[in-house]
Amino acid sequence: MTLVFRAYVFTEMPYPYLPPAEFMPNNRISVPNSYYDPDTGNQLYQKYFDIYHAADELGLDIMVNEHHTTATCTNVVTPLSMAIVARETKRARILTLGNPVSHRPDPVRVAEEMAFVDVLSGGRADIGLVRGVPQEVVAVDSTAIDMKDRFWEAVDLIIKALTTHDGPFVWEGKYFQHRGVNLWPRPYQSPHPPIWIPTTGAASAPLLAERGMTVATLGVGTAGCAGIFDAYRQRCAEMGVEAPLSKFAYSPQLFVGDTDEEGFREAEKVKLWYREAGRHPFQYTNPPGYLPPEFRAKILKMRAQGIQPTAPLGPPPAPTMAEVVNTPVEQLTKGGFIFAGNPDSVFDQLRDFFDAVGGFGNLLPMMHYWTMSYDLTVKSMRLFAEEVLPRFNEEVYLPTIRGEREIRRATV
Amino acid sequence: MSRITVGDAELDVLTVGEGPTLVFMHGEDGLQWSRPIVDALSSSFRVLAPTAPPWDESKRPEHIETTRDLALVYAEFLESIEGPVVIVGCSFGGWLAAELAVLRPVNLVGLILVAPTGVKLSDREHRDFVDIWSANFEDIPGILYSSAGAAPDISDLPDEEYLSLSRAEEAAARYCWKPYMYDPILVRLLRRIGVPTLMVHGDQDHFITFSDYYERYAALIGESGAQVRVIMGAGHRVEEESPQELAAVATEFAGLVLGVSLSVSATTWER
Repeated sequence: MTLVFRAYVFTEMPYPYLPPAEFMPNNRISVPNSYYDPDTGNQLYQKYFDIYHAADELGLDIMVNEHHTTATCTNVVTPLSMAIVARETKRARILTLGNPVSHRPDPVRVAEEMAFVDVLSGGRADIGLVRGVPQEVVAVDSTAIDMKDRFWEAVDLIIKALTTHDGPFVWEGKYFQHRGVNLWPRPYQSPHPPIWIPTTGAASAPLLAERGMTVATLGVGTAGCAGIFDAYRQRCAEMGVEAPLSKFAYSPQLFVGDTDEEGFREAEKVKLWYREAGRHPFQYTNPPGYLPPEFRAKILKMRAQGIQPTAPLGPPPAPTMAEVVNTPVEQLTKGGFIFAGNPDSVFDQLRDFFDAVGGFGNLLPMMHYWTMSYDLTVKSMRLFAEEVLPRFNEEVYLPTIRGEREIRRATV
Repeated sequence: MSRITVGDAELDVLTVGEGPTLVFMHGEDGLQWSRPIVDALSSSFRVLAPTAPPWDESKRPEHIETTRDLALVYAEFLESIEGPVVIVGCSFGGWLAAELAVLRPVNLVGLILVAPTGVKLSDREHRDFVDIWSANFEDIPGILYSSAGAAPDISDLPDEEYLSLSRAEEAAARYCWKPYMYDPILVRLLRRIGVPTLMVHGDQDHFITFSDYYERYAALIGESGAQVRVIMGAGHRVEEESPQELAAVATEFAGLVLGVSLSVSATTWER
C-alpha cells in the first residue's frame, strides 16, 4: 500500500423519494416497501455504482456501508457492493465500514466474504467490523444484550479465520461455535487485510490501539475526533509501539465547488443526512442493553418528563443532530463536521483539521446524499481529487510522515 | 433485604411477615412497584420476594441466559426453604414460576400465575404480546395497565429509581427479547406441573393480543388444567392495580392448598 493520504468517498445509496417528514415522520424499520419503486431503485443503483466507478478513475478510494430496513441507505449488504466495486474498478481501495458482526450469526461467513473480495480485487479490501447503530438491532431483530462481548468474539474469530493457513481449526466460544474453520479462498493481503473499527467515543480507542486496528470516527467534529485519536496514541505510547497516521480515519461530509458560495450551497444537500438519519421513532435508537443503564436512566428520566433527548455529536460545545439541521454549512466547517467551499478553502479546512487532531491518514468523505445528481457529485469529486488531494499530500501529509513538517496542535 | 447465595448466583431476598412461606416472583419492573402486593400478602404469609439476577445489582453468573436457566437457580433457592412453599409469579415472574414448577421442586405445593408470559399460543405470523420495545414511549402505560392513568407517575422519581427501572428493562430484555416473551419449549412442558395452580388475570389486559390467552395457557397446565380467576378492572399489571383483590384471591387459594385457614387482614385492606 502506497503511503499517501487516502480519501475513501462514499454514498449511503439513499432512496430519497419519500413523502416529506410532515406526512411521514419515520423513514426506517416500519415503512412499508410499497413506497419503494423498483424502477427508480434500479436507476439509483446504476447511479451509485457509476459514482464509485468515477471515484476510481479520479484516483479516489471507495467506502461502502450498510443499513437494513432503511430507506436512507439501500446499500443493504456491503460484501455484495464491495464485490461489484471490486470487479468494476481497477485501483481504488475498497473499504466496508462495515460488517455488522454483532448481528451476523456466523462470523466465518463474514471472513469468507471478505477474503473473496480481497482476492477478486487483488488485495484492495479494507475490512471494517462494526457493532452497528442501535436502530440496526431492531431492523435485523438482533439483540443489544451482550452485544459488545459478541462483537469482540466475532472479531477474534474473523481474524483467526483470515490468518490460519493450516486449518481446519475448531472454535467453541461463548457465542459462536464452528466444527472446522478453513477459509477458501484465503485473503490476498498478508497477514490479512487491514481491520478498521469505528467508534464515536474515546473510551474504545485504547482497545483498538492494543489490537493495532485502524480507528475510524464519524461526524464527531474536530474536538471529538482529537479526543479519540489522542486516546489511541496514548495507549500506543504506553505500549511503546508506533501509531502511524494510516491507522487513523475520519468521516465528514464534503463538497468542493468552484467557489465558496457554490461549495456551501451544494454541501447543504449532503448535510440533509443529519435531517434524514434521525427521522424515526426514538425507541429504535435505545434498545435495552445498547447503552449502559446509567445512560438509559437519564434518558428515561427525560422521556418521563416529556423531554426528547438528543445526544450531541461530540464533546461540548458540539451541536446535536437536530441543531446541525439548522446550522449553516459554513459554520459547521469550523467545527470539522463538514468540509466545504472552493478547493483552497477545503484544503485549508483539511490542513487545519489534520493538525488539530494530531494528524491522520484517511478521510472518509460522504460526497453524495439524497437527490444530489451524478454530475454534481462527480464535479465535487473531481475538484477534490485534482485540486485538493494532490496538494494536501504534497504540502501537508507526505512532508509530515517524512518528518519534514510539524503537526501544529495549537489550532485546536 | 438479605443476599442469599444459591450456587454461583446471588439473590437479594426481601422477607416480610410471618406464616406459611409464599415466594413472590416479580415482573419486568422488578420489585419497584410491588411493595403493596408484598405487604398485602404478608398479613398471612412469610413472603420471600427475591430479586432475580440481573435485576438491580444482584450477580448474574454468565451461564444464566434464559428463563429456564434462571428457574434452575430458583429450584435451588426453593431447596433452601424449609416446609411447603406457595409461589405467586407476575408476568415474567409468572413465566419463571411456570418454568420452575415444571421442574417439580419437592416443597412446592401451590402455584399462582398472575398474567404470566412465557408460552407461545398463536401462529408464526402473530405475536401473543404487544411489542413494548417497538411501542412509542407514551403508549406503553396504556398497554401495561388498564388505562394510561392507572400507571405509576414516573415523572419525578429519585435518580436511583430511574436507574433501577433501566436495569430492570435490560434484565427483562435479556430473558424476553427473542423469542419475544416466550420459551418455545415451555408450552409442551406445562403438563408436568404437578401442583394445584391458579391463573389470575385482569379483564383489561391490553398487553395480550387475543382475549383468551390466559384461559388457553391455563388449560395446558397439569393433568386437567388450572383454575382461572379474572379480576375486573385490572390491566396486565394486576399486582400493581389491584393488590388487595389479588392478595385475597391468592390467600384463599393458598389456604386451600395448604389446608389452613388464612385471611388478608382488614388493616392491610385499608392501606
